[in-house]
Amino acid sequence: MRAWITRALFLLVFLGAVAAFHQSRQNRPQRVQLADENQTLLVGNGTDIETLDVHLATGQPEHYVITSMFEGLVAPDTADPDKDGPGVALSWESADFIHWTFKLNPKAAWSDGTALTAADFLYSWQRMLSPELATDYSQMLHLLKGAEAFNQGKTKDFSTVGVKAADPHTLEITLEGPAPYFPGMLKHYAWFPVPKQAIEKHGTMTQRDTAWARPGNIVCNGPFKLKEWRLNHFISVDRNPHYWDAAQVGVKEIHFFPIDSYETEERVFLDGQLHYTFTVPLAKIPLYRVEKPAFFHQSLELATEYYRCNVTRPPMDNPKVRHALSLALDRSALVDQVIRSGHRPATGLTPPRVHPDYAELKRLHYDPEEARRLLAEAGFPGGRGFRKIEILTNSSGTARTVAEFFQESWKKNLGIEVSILQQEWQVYLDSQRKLSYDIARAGWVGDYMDPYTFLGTMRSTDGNNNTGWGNARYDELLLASTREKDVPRRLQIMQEAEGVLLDELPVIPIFWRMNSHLIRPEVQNWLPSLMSHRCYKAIRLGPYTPLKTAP
Amino acid sequence: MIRFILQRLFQGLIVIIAVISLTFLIVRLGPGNPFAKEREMPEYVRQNLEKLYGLDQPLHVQLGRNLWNFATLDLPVSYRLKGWTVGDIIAQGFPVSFTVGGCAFLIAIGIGIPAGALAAVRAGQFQDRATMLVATLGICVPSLVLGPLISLCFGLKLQWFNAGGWYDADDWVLPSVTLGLISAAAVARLTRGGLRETLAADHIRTARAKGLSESVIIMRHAFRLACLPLLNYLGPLAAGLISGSFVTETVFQLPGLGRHFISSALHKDFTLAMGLAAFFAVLIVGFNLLVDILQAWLNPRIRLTEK
Repeated sequence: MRAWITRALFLLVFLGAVAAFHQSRQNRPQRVQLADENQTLLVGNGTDIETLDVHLATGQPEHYVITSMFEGLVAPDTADPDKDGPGVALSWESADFIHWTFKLNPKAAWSDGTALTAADFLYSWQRMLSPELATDYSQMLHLLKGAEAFNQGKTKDFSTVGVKAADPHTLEITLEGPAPYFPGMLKHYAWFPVPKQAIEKHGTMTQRDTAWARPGNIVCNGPFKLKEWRLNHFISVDRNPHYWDAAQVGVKEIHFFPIDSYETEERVFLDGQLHYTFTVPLAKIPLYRVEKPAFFHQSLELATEYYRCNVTRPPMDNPKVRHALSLALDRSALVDQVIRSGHRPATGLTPPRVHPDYAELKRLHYDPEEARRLLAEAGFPGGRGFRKIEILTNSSGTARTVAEFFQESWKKNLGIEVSILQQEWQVYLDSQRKLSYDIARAGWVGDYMDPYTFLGTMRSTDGNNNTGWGNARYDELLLASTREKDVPRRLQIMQEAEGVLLDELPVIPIFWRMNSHLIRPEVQNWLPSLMSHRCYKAIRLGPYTPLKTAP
Repeated sequence: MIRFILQRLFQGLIVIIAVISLTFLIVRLGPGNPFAKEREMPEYVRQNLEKLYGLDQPLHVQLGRNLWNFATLDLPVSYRLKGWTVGDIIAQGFPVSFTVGGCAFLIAIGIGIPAGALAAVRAGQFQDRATMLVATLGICVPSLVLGPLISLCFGLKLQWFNAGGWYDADDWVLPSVTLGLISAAAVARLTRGGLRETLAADHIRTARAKGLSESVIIMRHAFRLACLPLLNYLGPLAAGLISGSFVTETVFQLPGLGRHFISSALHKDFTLAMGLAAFFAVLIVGFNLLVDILQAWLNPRIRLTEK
């Protein structure tokens, strides 16, 4: 009996302790609550960034951190991040879209207090184009007159490149050809200034892998400056007092968290540890779209998902076969019933809204009858004699699901056998470059608001073509577009070029991507952007508000 | 003893060199390129890069240079995390992995050994069956499942701990428990097996005949011997736990070494992959040596110097 009383007492004390613990833990303030009080924005940032060296960086997570710390001549507009607002440059003008004059803000400065002048841009663009530094994005600057020759090492004289400092606050730029979209392009970090004083303190101008971009060493010119960087943990930035527009900056700090797993990110968001998620787990998007919680946001991205056809390998060398493959795909069914994440079925290569006056071509549609007819015309009636082909894809996200949908569609509608090969990212990229695939999944994110950023990749000489396809007329039209000063005429030429591309179909566009995010209600002024531009200084944090719906 | 340790250290050195070389060859000779990006880079840029990192040299020269760098502790820079040396990366990640792994190790032996001992003493009874059922379940459930479950239950639902992240000591709990419980299951099974075998041995029967109490028999006579198979397992377990777990770190969003292990291999980051493999090899060699010494101390029949 006594033993039982002891046991019961013990159990009671134990349960009491658990209840007390439960009470005390449940009433802890959430991390966002503390962050709201301190005006700190907590942002999910995808994978860990590789570097903060503006010229060596390449990915989207890098883009998000770098644009908080650095600013180019042009910056995202506070009212619409896709529009061009003043950055280091107060104003700019060009009569012919070839010769540009940028007037720099005399208040522009580095975070160490030194003045930022036109000479800094000369230094930066020289560094970016130096063959010794071997940067991934140097091609973006090839728009500058003479830049390509300098980048390839054909000349060592940087004065041959079309950029001059007329005075410390005036930059004169000459381009290879007319580019009305040039100011918008300058929002890409490839064009950002880098601090000579910091770079040369830790190495030479063209030395890679020096420590200048590490905490304690880095000097920047954006609304925020680096505070702390722990690998795979977080990057924090705080207000840069020397920023020319410091009075506009809303929040005190931003913490970027590299969270590889989308499921983990969603969990920590719901647990009140993030204001903004990098994305949403694909499997959860349909649910959120139905439930429509106020914190779920979607916006169109300037990105196309497509399949490459290796036209050096029969039977994909036959345009009729490529058209048959495209016509046999019900893109709406894929997007609405299979992936269900809100993407838009593609009707061409260039996504909508890339330019207000560039109309969608609307060439691609679903027509299995026509697909079968074309395949028969190509010599494979009912798929007979068609060799088994392979879809090459990477292993992330919906890649596999999409490939399986295609496998099924082509089998059902055309009677052809398709297998799927999944490769790890670096191997998958390598296979495409070496043209060792039949059909490969690919995607392209636009660099600036102009159709050329998509169409240019399919020129026969472009490194991103990777299909073996080349068309003289297409190349000619694109070249002509780079020489045309009249904007409507230029767009017309590009539309014609896209027509040629869609007639030949070396790539089969599938859908235009939508971005999905979870955003807490207290975040204000975080505006959607086609180009994933963020105007950090405009963002404000309101008072703490608990999330409404629990999923 | 000293001679034994020196011998083992020498063997360990060879193991470490072999591990570095193999890692280098596997990652280097496998398909893919460390500089490949979704955007194509011009051929001359690629050539410049390969020249810069010495990837255009013959394989043995590259291997030799890397080995020399590691030997002289002139740790190379990671290909992917530009500007960070392999040493910087390990120095940042290891304390996290060590904390979580160390706690997990304590949980594993703290729960596993008593549970296994209870099962062995009550062999065939309810306590034995229940413990072993739970242990078998624990071995079968991967951390990929257990981690999110624990995070959802104690993080999101009960709100006892953060569902993920690495801010203060609170955040040690859930990942350590996840890792620790899974290892505790294996520890419990090994303890039970070892103790059952020892309890049936002659010297235990003699001890019982002498009239010693059951607790003295188990604690003093049986347990020492029963530990031997367990110790062999605990060495590599400790090395494995403190060097980080990819799954647990991803689920709980921890900045440990485990995530670097996987990403360096996937991104063809040779230098980091080699550095991490070497570091892991050092840990394994170290812990195995420790286990050998402990075993000799526990079991007088093992004479190190005679080996």
